[in-house]
Amino acid sequence: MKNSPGAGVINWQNSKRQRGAFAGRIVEDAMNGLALLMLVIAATLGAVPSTAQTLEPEDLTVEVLPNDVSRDHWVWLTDYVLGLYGKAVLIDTDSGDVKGAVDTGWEPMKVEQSRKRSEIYAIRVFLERGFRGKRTDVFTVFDTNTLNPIADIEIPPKRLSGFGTMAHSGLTSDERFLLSYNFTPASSVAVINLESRAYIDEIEIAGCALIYPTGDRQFFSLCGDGSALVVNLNDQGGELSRVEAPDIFDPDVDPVFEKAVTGNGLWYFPSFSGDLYVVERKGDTVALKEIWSLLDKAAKEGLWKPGGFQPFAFHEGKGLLYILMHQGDEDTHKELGEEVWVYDVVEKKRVSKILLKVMAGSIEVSQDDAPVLYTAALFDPNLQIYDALSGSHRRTITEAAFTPTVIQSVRPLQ
Amino acid sequence: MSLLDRLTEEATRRISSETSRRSLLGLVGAALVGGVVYPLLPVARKSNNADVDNGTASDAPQLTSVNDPRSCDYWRYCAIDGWLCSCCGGSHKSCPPGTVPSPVTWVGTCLNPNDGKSYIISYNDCCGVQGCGRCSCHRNEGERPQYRPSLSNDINWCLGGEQLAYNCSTAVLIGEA
Repeated sequence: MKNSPGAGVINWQNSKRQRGAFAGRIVEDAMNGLALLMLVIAATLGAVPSTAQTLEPEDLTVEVLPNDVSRDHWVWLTDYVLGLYGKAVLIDTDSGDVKGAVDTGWEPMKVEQSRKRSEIYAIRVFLERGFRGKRTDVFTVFDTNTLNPIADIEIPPKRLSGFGTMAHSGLTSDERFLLSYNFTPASSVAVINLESRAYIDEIEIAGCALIYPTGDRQFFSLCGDGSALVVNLNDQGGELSRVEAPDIFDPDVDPVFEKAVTGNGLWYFPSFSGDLYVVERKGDTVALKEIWSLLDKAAKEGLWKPGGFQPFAFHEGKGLLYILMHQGDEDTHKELGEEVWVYDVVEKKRVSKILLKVMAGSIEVSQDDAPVLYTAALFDPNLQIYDALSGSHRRTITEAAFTPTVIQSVRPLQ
Repeated sequence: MSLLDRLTEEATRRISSETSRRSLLGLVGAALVGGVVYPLLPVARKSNNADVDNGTASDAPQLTSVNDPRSCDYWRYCAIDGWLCSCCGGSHKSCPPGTVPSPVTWVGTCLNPNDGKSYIISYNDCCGVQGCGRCSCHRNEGERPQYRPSLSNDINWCLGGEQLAYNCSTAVLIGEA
């Protein structure tokens, strides 16, 4: 049966006039009841407040996020929702308010943020019958003011399934292309043109994994033998050339985390044992710029190590590298951290330690001049907020997500 | 005690000193539910030593547990990562009803303490039903980033089959090593 206001089921697509009629009926009934109640009160008390105002009927509205407010301390927090269908939650960490959310599909990875357009992007996976059936992968564009999906383009169903990292997708610097990591278990990179919102093709990267963009037409992937595979793109998003950059690291001696961070044209890869590998672009390839230790003698003796789910963050303007630290033996690279150590990457020295109020697996830092540090853990629904310079704890945002994984600072439009 | 349990316990202990009882209960509830998630992703992890998987050096399993397919100490589980199908309607060598074995698998070499021989064990996953959530068994020894995918437990290995949803893991004996 088609719903009608008279049937007592509200169809919010009805015209305002119909809603007004329905609301009017409700108000009329309510007013009759109210009048009766007032009479009873008057009879009881012998007086009616002379200043009583009749409440006006209301229309239900949908929020739209304004453009003219600072989003410097807003984050997208990916909620893995127990490894089922997840979402990215938008949170204003100054007020502590959740501003909205977008659905990011089965085993969600992360979102990509445009700095040119009021858009974010997600590669989403859906199963035909919820938990079974034909798999469909889509590239989705969300409007960052309405949070509505405004484009949904089917792509080959090859996106990696599992836990997300910041390296599972990336944008070219000019934001012409979105790159998304495929694993079937053959590894490749899907290329999507953001300007035409069209899937271009995939580029195979056999033996290598993940995506580290290095300019308008280049990215590299890390390979199982410790090299990097550099792919140069043409203006159509196809492969122009590929270069193997050997000997970036030795995965058998000291593996680097694949959870790297970038800033000022460099990629920073901490290793399991606590060295920092810095990778830079060199024309059509990349090279290891330098390695320096994050640990002094006391730290090594104390068995301090980097580790976690998203254990690194970088403040580009201040050149500060934030590293989640714990004490542990070999193979503790996914332990929760209890401290965040802050490094000046120009001076190559530690400048501060932040003692966390709550142990964390994921960290992120805002990019403004008064930055805040965000921390979360997979088992903990709360998001913690710290002053990223003084280290003081600012607030706890409760019930931020069922299963927090990736934290991403909202990047302002340029 | 599995790494998951230790992580959860540490996080809970740490937070419990700073939160009210009510919020702690909420956290514990989330931790329990979260515990359903973390081992969801099966691992292709090499067995670095052909010894029984002891959990921790100070937590040596008893003989009963190394022969109990419902225990993380079971000798065949030396390189497993996930929920044990033995607790989910299947067994160490069978998938629960309604699930589908994954075609992609990984192997470990485990020492059987009962006969002193090493065996190759295939850790097939059972897929097509959402996560079982019982008897998590999760370790990071030898675990490596995704540029060594066969050693990464951040990957859902059900992805190689028709059904993407991961339910639990088995440990099928292939033969003597």
